[in-house]
Amino acid sequence: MVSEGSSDKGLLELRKVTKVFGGLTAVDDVSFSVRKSEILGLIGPNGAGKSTIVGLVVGALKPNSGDIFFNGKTLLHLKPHQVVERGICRTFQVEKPLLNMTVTGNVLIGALLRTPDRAEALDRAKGIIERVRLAHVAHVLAKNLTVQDRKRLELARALATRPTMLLLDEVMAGLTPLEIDQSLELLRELRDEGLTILIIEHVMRAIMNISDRIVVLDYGKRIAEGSPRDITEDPAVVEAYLGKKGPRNG
Amino acid sequence: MGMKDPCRASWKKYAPPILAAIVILVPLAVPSRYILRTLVNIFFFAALGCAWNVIGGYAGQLSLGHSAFVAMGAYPTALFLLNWNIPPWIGFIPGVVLALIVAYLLGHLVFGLRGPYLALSTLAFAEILRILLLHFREQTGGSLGVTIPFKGTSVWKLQFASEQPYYYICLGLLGFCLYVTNRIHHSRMGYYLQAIKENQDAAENLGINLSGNKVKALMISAALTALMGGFYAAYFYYIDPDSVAGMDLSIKILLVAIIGGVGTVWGPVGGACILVVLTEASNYLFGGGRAGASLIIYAIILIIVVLFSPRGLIAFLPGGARSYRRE
Repeated sequence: MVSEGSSDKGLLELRKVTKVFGGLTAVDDVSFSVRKSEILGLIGPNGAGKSTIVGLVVGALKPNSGDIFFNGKTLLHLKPHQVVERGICRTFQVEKPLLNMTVTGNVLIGALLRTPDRAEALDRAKGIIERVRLAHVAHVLAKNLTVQDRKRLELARALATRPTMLLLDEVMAGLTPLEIDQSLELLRELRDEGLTILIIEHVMRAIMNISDRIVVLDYGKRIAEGSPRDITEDPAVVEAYLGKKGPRNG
Repeated sequence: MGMKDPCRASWKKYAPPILAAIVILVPLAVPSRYILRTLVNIFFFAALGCAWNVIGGYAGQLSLGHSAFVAMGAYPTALFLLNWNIPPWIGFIPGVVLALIVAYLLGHLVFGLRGPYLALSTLAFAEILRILLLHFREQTGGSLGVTIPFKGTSVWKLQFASEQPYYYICLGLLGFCLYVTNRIHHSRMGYYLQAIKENQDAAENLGINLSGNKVKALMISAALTALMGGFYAAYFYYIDPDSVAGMDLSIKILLVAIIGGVGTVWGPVGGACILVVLTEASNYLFGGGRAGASLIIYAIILIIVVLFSPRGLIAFLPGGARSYRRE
């Protein structure tokens, strides 16, 4: 089922990446790649190693072995801020807004990465705030936002750094079905404009709906890769989620 | 984004030039040496507060050891003048360079640490310097300190019998510190420091070089502090390890910024006014026998500020809240 390594060289490529925390192998010899301008869904039960992979790609964590390439160049020796400069930006599963700054201020700081000119950065920030539907709270301090708006702010801030690739770690948790649809629409638009997206999501309806391809992890191992349709029919995936004899978890 | 109050608008328009004119004309109109000395003290501490604010206020990296940088400016200035007759306006340069180098090295060493560890390591750093100054008696005079003899008014050696020249020099230095912090406040670096203060992980994830920006902020802060240290030596004619490298001075510097308003350009000026005036008042009321009374007063003000206006007293002024940038 699982092919060794990835023959199709993508924009982002993980090659035999392993990360061990103490005695726990959080990511175990995982290889996959993300092609340019596609949306790749990364799914798996809790503790499968999804967020760890995001941490490894952006340089917040260093793998014990393996290598990660972006545009054909390794990312391993880069610090997190240098990875962002290269064009990869993540969002945090637990939002990390700059609490005492307004929504505009938060996004502005992201935009300043690409221009030292405040007026230009502010212009771009305003455009992005419109786009993620935060205009009504543009001047509200981040600490006073609802959870949903904080999620949007995570996305807005990441977009402001003008990434070529986005890593989205559960940006839809807590959103209403209508809001999820709006988010999906936005992500599709972004992909059509050329952005490459790796998305982790527990909302299955969303991830099945939007992903061009899906990689499934379980206990740190890649157990499947394919189109959403293939994945749902894959016995290994069904077992990982549901277990052999009845449900393992809700 | 407040209401457009015509009264406030005209206040805003006319207050700065009027205040500037008063500050410049005071020495000509006020004959009292005591009042001028108090004002120089205010300028001096305001400038130090500004310098501390760059790293402690904007970047939120608490330094409890800034007196070390005062000493780095003060000792070379005093020793060059005493030993080789090099005037203070040249003698301060090696001190500033030294402070820049030390800040660069110290920054790389301690900015891996966060929170209380950073504060403690800066505190230890200043203590080590103070002990070294005590130890190398031959060069530094040890606990006796360095006394600079006054040999009559000399512009070349920045020695003046009257108070007025010092007033203008210190005012100029304060102006320079305010100019630098104002530039930072409105620059990309200012935004980056604020982001670092708010959340380091988020800042890093927005492409901000954490250690690079923190080290740069510390270097700017240290250089300005050393510059004021140079002025200290030239103005007081006497330095010793306890007065320029002691913890009292470090605490007083950060109180100026915290009481006035951390992360604002003008906050330290307000903080210095309050602290210096209260110190003078307590010395007058309680006399030399109970000189420690001013320390109790600092403690009380600090408690009041932390409890009721943790962002500093500038937040109480009309329009003061706008001194803090939020977007």
